[in-house]
Amino acid sequence: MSRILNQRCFNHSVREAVARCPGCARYFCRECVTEHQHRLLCAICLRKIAVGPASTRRASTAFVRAIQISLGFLAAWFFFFAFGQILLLIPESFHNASLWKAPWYLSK
Amino acid sequence: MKKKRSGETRSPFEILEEATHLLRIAPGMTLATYYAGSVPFILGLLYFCEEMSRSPFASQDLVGAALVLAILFLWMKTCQVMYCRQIRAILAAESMPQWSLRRGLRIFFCQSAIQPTGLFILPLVLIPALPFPWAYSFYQNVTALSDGESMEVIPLVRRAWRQSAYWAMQNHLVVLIGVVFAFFVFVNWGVLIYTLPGLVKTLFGIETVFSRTPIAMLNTTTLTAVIGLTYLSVDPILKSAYTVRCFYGEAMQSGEDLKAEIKRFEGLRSVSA
Repeated sequence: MSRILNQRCFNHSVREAVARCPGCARYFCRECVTEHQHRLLCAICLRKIAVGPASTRRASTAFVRAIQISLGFLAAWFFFFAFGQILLLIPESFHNASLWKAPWYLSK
Repeated sequence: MKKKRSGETRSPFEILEEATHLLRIAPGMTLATYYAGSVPFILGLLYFCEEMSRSPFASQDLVGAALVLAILFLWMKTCQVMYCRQIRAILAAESMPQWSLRRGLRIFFCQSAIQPTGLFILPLVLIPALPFPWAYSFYQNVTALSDGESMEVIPLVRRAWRQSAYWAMQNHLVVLIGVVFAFFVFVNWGVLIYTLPGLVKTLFGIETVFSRTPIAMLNTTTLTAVIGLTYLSVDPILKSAYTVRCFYGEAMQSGEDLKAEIKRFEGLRSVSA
């Protein structure tokens, strides 16, 4: 807190700083920061965020999303399929607990 | 005035205590949301294990049964996100979130893209043991941070990864306490299920195959049932704990914990006035 008291606004050198932008770590006066999603941001960082989602949206098209979801779904299916295969490989005597009644086990 | 401490200085016990407290004060609907997703999956898993271990048509049914189980798994993850969002709303002193089909589908698709990888990664990282808490925390954070507002997967992954890197010692201890707690819950459920046929015979005189040969209880179905019951008992607390961790982690930048305090204080002031 003591650091901010000695700071001046990045845009207006005569004004005292009241906030530090979490995006660029610069100090700003009350007029140079805006609240965005519960954070006080400067105009430049706010613009970057505003531009960011649009470009991201362009990159991750509906096709990419469909691929992501399909791969995820396929991975879940494959996992349970492999799990089922492992269960099929386990001997019947283990599943129905007759393994514990086997002569070799009882003789121990 | 009692000074509220940030997430950084909280011990894992405090996080778990707060998580349990949130679970206790949460409306019945919150836990009902959790179990609406988890109970069908556990029942499905039980049926799957039973089919695969006993049925003569197991190999024919495997493809379809695995498909149903995958859908139930993703449904469970969707319900768990809704549960975490409600816990977070209580924590942030906000009104309960409103759910719509569109929002639910966004959560479902987001979770479909991320959570299935955990089915492979979590058992793999369990072998070297050391990176397990980070990986476990990451997948819990994906559940705790998703809210259905956006379908973007990569920002959610980044947020979850950032949160899992915070307070490593706290995270490790939460996982350790969770494992120890889960072990004792597992033993409790195991003992209960093992003694149940004997109790039924003593109290009601009903003879079963398990009361005649208790060793027959040591089969895969019983083991799956005990694991499932342990998961249903322990996981809501751990999900709640990771929601608390994520809340304090994000509050370092957003100051959301302070806002929640102010909201609660204003609420108390209006009641007293």
